Amino acid sequence: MKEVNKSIPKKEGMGLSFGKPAYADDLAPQNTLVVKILRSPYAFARIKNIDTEQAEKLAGVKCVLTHKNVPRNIVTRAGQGYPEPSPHDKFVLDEYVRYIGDEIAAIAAEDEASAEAALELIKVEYEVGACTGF
Amino acid sequence: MRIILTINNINKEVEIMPGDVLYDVIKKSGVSSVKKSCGTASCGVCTVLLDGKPIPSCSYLAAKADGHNITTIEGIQAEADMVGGMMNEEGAIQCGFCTPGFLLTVIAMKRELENPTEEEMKNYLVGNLCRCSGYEGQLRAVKRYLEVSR
Amino acid sequence: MKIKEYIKPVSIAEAYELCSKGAVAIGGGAFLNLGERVIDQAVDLSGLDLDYIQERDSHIEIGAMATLREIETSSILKENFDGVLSKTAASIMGVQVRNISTIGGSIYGKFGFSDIITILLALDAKVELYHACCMDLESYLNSDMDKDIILKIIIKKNVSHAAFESVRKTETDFSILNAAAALVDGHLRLSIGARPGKAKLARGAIGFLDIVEASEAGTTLAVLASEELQFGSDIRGSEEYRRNLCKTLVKKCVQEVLQ
Repeated sequence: MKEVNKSIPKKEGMGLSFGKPAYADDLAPQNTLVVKILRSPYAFARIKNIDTEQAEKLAGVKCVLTHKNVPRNIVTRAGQGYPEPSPHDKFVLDEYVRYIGDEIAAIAAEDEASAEAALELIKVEYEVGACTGF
Repeated sequence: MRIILTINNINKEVEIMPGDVLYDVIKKSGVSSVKKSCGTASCGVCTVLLDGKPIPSCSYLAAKADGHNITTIEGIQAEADMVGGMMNEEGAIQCGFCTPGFLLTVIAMKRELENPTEEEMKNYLVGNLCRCSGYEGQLRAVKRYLEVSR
Repeated sequence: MKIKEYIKPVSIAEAYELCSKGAVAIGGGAFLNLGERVIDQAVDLSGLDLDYIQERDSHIEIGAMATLREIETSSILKENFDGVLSKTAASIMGVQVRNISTIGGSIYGKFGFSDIITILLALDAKVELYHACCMDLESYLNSDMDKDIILKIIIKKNVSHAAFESVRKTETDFSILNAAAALVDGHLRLSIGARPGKAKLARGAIGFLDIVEASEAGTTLAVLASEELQFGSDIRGSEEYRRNLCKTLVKKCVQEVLQ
């Protein structure tokens, strides 16, 4: 019973207190691309058409992904362990969006401003549906 | 536009855009301790001291800070070491993302209030949210710190 | 919010000139990140010496750029109006936000959730503008003076008692509903805000003050105010919930003020 009822200071506690680099953003190299996500304004919709041509042409934009050009792999949103027991029930990007904020497109650009400007250049036509039957 | 910021007693002349917020400018100048979470001045994670007063750097125009003194944890190592150590002993640090901002607010409170009551402490610290360890350990550490440094 | 140009004028005349041509005055800027608005010219008013709280013989003047934290800690405001303006400021969000939010910005925004507007309406505050001069806060809220610059808030010291009440989901959230009462020159003023629309005076309800028993005043006025004003539903609460809250908050305020 030597350890019970004893408080053990956390090993990384002091480093975290002083805000020493520890998180993804702290460790990202200088020339890291910035990724921004275009999100659905609708609770349920089908993407009838998505035009990324202008966004791709914008200076600084390196990559634009939509459901048309990502592999149709199923993934899981959870991350409990390995082997992963949670249902693999989500495509990386899909023709359908299922909640407000669901991902429609991803942009990688040299800086945040270009990535955000590119988001606004993506034109999406939605077929908005009623979210029922689940 | 160019502005002059005094970050932890070092004068820095920096080039900014008119709409840049203070958080981004501090971060770009190489200070790693300041974090951003909500981006809407609600959580306290991005707290820095502006002329000694805690402010949300995510919602403060960098241009407004021209000519002012900014303090981050790096600028008050001795005090941060003391409160941080007590926080660590009290189990009040889990992911640690909110800790630097919280410590700055605690240190500003100690300088501003004389012998605060528990109610006054809570009122001063209410703007620093912690989503993992909770507030009991924090409060124990803060009380110990005020007691010891009285 | 995106800002294309930032200007810090050195005179109020210059600031007014800019704002009258479409530039946007920035107070503390606490809600900078809450909108997607694009601003061509932002005008910083912090170089105009509008940051003060002064006591005069008959009234108190609060400069538009005085922060909520300054209002909270001001000994002048702790000693006047039952300290209620200080207490109201202290109940708003965290100390970080109070260190940057200004009273001028709180009024200029005409925000529905504002606690400051509710208490100032009850205290019968006046707003002094650069161009349009002085007007009641109530008239200012109903006017379209966006291009004018608020210089200061004036509150007469003829307030014998004042009270403020609010309900929030968490300490740092906006009010679901707030209410304030004050006895100004012996007359009761009652305002209710975060309905969720901007604060309004319950003029009808207070008209009944003279004909109800003193012991029943709180309860009766609370019901009348809840029937007189409009309430709405939003993410924080339903219309029905607000109407019921109104009764409780108004009763508390009225009882405190009439004691």
